[in-house]
Amino acid sequence: MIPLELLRASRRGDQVSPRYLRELWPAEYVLGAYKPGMRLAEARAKVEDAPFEPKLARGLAHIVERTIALEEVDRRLLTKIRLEVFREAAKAYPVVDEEGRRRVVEAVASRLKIPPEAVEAALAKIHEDELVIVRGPDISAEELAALYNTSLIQTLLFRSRRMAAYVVADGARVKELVRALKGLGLMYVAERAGDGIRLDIDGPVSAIKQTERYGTRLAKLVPYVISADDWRIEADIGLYGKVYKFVEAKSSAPRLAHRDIEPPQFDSTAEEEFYRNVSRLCAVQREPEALVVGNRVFIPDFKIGDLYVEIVGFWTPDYIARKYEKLAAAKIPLLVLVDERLALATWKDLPHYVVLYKDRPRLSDVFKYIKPYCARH
Amino acid sequence: MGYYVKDVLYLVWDRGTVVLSGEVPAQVRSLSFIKFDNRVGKYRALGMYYYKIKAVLDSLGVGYEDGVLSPICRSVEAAKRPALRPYQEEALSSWLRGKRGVVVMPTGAGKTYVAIEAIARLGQSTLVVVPTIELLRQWERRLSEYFPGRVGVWYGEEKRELCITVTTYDSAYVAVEHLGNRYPLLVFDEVHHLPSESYRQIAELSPAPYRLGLTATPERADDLHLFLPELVGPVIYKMAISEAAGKYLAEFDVEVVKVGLSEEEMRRYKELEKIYKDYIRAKGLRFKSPSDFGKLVMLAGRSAEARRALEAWHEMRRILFESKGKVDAVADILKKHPDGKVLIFTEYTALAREVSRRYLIPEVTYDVPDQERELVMEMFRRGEVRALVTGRVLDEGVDVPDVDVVVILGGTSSSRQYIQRIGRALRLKPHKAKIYEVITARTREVDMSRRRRRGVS
Repeated sequence: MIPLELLRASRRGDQVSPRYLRELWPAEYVLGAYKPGMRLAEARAKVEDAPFEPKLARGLAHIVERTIALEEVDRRLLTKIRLEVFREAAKAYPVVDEEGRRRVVEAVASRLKIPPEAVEAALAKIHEDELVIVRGPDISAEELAALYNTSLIQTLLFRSRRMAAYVVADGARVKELVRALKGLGLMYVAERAGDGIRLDIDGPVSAIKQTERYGTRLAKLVPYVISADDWRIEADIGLYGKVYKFVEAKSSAPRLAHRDIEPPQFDSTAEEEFYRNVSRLCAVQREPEALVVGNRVFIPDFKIGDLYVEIVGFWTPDYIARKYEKLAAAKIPLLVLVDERLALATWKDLPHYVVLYKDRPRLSDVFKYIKPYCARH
Repeated sequence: MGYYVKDVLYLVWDRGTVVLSGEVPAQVRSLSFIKFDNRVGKYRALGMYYYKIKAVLDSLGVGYEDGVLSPICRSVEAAKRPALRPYQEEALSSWLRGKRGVVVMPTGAGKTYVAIEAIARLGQSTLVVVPTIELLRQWERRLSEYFPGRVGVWYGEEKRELCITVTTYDSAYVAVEHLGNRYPLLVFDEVHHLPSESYRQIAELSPAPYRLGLTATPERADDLHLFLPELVGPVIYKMAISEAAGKYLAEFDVEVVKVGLSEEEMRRYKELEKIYKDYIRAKGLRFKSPSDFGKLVMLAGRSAEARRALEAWHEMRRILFESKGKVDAVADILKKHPDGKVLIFTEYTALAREVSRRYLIPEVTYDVPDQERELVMEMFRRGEVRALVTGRVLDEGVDVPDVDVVVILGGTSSSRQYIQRIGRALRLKPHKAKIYEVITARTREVDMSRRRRRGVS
């Protein structure tokens, strides 16, 4: 994804669409700017001189820079040398001419037993753009254009208020998409549509007011959507104080790139903490395979050895009721951690290990259940 | 199923919102800020209305189960208490009446201690929101003196929640969905940042009933400060800079140093100025306030001509703010104050880098790793280095106790930024503080400098 200020989009009436890159030569130009042996600043200067729109050049450069390797420096050591220089200069303060400057650099060099040039290099190389490129970009112009065009869609969606994704794909793909959006804290309403399903996606606050709060998260769903057999995206985009419609579909889009699928995030801090604590001791699998319980899909939060773990937070009554039914019917070794504010006798009747927690689950309370299943990393 | 009673009303926290389920009384359903959410078939409101919903329910005498707040600590006790000056005590007692509101005090007057005492008196888990990592560290350090072992930070790589957690506006914007209901008290440092389109959501999505805002300058050029009473509460205490000068704050002198552009720089500047002015004149544009400038930015989205004018404007700024003459001028100022503690501000980091390289003084900018920035700030505080050069990182709030010379090499025409920057030198000291403004002669910078100083003295 490229930053919003590098977005290139054109508006017509109430529609907005990305200005895709459909020629390869600008991509080739930017790829050519990053040559091994060059300082990053020099490559960037070439990008600034590109014979086409600066925004396009910078957008391409943004992607290319993720594919190159810079010389490795020990930033701690650089900082150490720099601080020596600043201290030495403070003794002779103020250092205002070339002669005084040279004396400071030499004094530090001889104290650290390195050549003066190494001191000068440390002063410079703390800045990323002073570093030398050691490996150039490893992608083709076609791939770069595809990555760029995908990023444009995503960056446009940064400003989206809601998004509808129509996908035709197998169950696993759809589940991946649904899981990703839930992991991002988004909400959806699904309906069957033609050969596929349509998901209307937004976030909790969207029911109360229009907000671009979820835009960056909606953008992260793009790789999941475009990997479907067929797809279509519709979104409301806020730009320049107006709301525009954005529509794109597999049939009309240029070639896109299917990279950048990010690992799902945690649903709650309780889950995140639990995972952090347990994974220090045992191998934990997050969001293990989907189980079928009754005729519904159930994906427990964690799996430790053969033991599944589900954390039940404080939530609305019917959500809890559904969860309870699923848990009651599941015939698997399962540890259920329940927020004590839900602490009602019925939980104790579950055919599983049940532990109540206050605020967040504590490892000391549950370790005896986990221990038999715990495999060291 | 029997473990939830059907006709009982539940208030539940859901990622920045309060969900009402069960039997919702008609008087509550009809409140303007409560919406029915078709996706889940329940009523929903922004977190900030939590205390209003409770007040309505309580006045109706309706019973309900409340699971919204889940404080990270049951209570927060201070190991010691700050000794407040009379005006700080006055600000605090005014805040304690409603436990919501904004305290306006000049930089250097000790707003932090008002907040520390507010946290101690309230004794509840608190989220402190600040603009920069430098300020985050400062608050962490200061709070830890009074609440040892109870202070955590939440930003970037370091996420450690404790009874009092310090975070940045950027991090809080993202994390409020998860952290929001764990802190009944919110403290906003430099609260004038809060009303912006995105940061505002920190206040909107949090259910915290208690809120305290701190600033030297609540007003914003775009008038968005009008939202502050709803987001944080009204201004409940205000102290003008003139009240504090000489008594709690140092007096200061301002000296304007004019430098010239090199011939090459001036030629390029005039060229760009022509492109820019021709376009403005042809379109009949007038710029009276910063928001008018947005017009040009908008036009640039549509026409190549406007885009060229905007690019010319940006490059003009860069020439002004980065001119070689300014780097040279620093030498003379440093020589004039061999015993002073000097803080140099630039608009662009390229200039800060050049000043640092030439005079071997540390630079505190986002180009430098966090760790070095922290070490350098420590050294500056201890007096191991005498001068620092910085971009906008240190514009606000950071306490550099005995700076007596501030050099402004480039800045906007905003008088807020100006006040904040000179405020760095205003901690009380026996002698006058000295402010240098280095500007480029015969350019629009002369006018910018005049505008930012207006209304300060």
